[in-house]
Amino acid sequence: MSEKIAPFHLAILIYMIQSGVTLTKLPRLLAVDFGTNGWIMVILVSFVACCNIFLIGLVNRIGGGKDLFDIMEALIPRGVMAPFYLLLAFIYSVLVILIGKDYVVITQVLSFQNTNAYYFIIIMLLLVIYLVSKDVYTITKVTAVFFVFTVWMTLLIFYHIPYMSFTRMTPFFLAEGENFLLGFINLFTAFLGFEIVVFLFPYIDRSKKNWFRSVYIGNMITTFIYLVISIVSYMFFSLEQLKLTSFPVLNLIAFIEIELIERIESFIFTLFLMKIVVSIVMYIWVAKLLFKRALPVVPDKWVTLILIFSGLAITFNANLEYEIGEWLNIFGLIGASIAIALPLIMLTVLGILKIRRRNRA
Amino acid sequence: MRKMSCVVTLAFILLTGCNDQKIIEQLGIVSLISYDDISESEEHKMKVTAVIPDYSIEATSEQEILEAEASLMKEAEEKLANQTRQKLVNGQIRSVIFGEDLASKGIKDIIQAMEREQEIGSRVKAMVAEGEAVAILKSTGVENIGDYMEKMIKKAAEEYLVPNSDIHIFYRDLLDDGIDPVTPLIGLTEGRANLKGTALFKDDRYVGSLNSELSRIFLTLYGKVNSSELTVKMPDGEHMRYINFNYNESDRDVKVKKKGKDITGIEIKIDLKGSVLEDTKEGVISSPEESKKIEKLTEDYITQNGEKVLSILKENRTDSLGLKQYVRNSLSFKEWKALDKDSILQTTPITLSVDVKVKDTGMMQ
Repeated sequence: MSEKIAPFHLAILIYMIQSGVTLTKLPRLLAVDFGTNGWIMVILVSFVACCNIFLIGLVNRIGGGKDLFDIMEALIPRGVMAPFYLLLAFIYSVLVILIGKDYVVITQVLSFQNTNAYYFIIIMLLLVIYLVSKDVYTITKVTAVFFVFTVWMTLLIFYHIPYMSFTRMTPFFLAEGENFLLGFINLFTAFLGFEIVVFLFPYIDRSKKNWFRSVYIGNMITTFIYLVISIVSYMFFSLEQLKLTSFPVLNLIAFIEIELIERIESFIFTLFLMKIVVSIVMYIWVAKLLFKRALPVVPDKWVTLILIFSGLAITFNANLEYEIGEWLNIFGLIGASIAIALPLIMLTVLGILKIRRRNRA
Repeated sequence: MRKMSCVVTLAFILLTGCNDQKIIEQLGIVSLISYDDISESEEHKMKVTAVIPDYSIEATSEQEILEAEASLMKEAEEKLANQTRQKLVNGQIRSVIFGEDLASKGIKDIIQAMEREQEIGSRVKAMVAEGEAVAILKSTGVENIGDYMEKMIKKAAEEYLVPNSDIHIFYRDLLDDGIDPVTPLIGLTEGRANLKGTALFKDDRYVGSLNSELSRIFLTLYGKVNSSELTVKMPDGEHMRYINFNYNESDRDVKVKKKGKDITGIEIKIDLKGSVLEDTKEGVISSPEESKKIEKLTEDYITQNGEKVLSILKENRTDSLGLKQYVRNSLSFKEWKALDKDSILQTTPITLSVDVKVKDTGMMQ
């Protein structure tokens, strides 16, 4: 592990983990849960995510760059922590397997209806296994390439400008929303991914003092793209239509007309695979780290397989769109709680350690 | 081992594409579909007709027209498929025609089903036919009616003869509480398919229409027009004067006038800028006085016909211009919810103010 992650790559990595399959549904979630002008909530929730990142930044500053394991085990013996590590590892693997399944379900709405869904899942996971067997530096480099392959899609919205209208947006502020709280949680889970940086501390190039800023920058890229897409959707669809459109972003892409090719969304949606793979790889990578810390005897190769297969086994019953949706709601909530809880717990431990050190002195 | 696993992965990725094949010679690619009402025999029954261009060598004609009776779009598809050796696919449906009777009963279900179907794009052009839609499909003189209709409607929308009628736009306006949808109206003239104007909808029901001349005026009231032309017919002194006004910049603005909380009126402001390319008046027409006069005549022409359009809309109690969107945006959410949306446009006076500017008179003075 000689080479370290540059801040620039870190920003891209954070963005790529954050944005994934939720993006395709995001405008509908906003419309259903918040109603008119729900895009405003993206700014608000992004701010909440920033606060969360700030907490992680505090951990980094106070802990002096020590990662989760070093901080926790300075207070609590590893044997006691091991079950928690394992639990966290399995939660993360289940979460990303669900995200992968969700992606496959949407793919099959568009095409390949007659193919067994597990075919796609296996192919996707093969890519994941290959990538996760590399070190994190290589993963971030691959992520940067994937970023270039996918980020241009945002520019497609220029095509929609003639079909957008401010009048359709209405001046009403969050009227007709169904469930503000659920919407808030759903939207927050769309921002998840930044919490992984807690595990990345030792792998980051710390020669630049302000490197932690790239986590904020990554979050800003996500916010910007979410915001643009939702504002465009609010001006392109009427509110009731947006509430009924399952994947507004796919409809936006499908609206683009090119001679000869109809329905380019089925082509472009395959590019989303890269985003999904990055999310899955990074979470599995963290899960692997956790697992190995708890059970160091298990060989490297087997850890990935154990994690993936247990994830598949646990989610074996979640295959339909609504089943996966329900599972994702639960695991999204768990993921969100972990993202908030991790830095808080670590800060508490750091505080206790400090007091103890002072008392000893 | 490494090489082997690479090969296996590649095989996995590439060979997946061989699953779910669709071979083009075996496909019946539907290009146009029409719906007619035959609910006298049974409730919800429709006559569904599909046009399938036939490119295979053994085909005797360039297209095949299939008919079926059904209550659901998908049910009709099944019945249509029974009549052909090909596998029917919807991916290339480019336009859909509704018969007058069916349209006046409401077409929300069909539009929604088309939006739901992943194979059908949201750019499919919707239109209403005078009388039976199937008559258009069977009209003579055109070899490939599916392609013909799509190109005709697309061209007409680009030239602002009829409104743009992608099903996305229809559905968007249908679900918006501040506007009612519109589509082009087509019909037969001497056996040939022909544009007839604009079909007006009240919610999802076809309620009335505007002829071609009023359609052009309607579109200037409807929104921004990038380029179109008007044939102005106005009395000038003793004679009728005909002017061709070719405009390339037109903008619409809607203002809701309020007194306290009450809406006292709606003003539609239209700005047009263009050139005069033909005029029945003899002599020089580019002088400032003459230009002013042409501007005045054109303004009067648009105002007169615009008022005709407004009265037709009012008669049918429809808000095709989307004026209610502007009413909505001038109110608070509570006021808007409490508003009697059906009668607001019936009771509020709507005024037109037209501003025409003659940019030039072409290559002649």
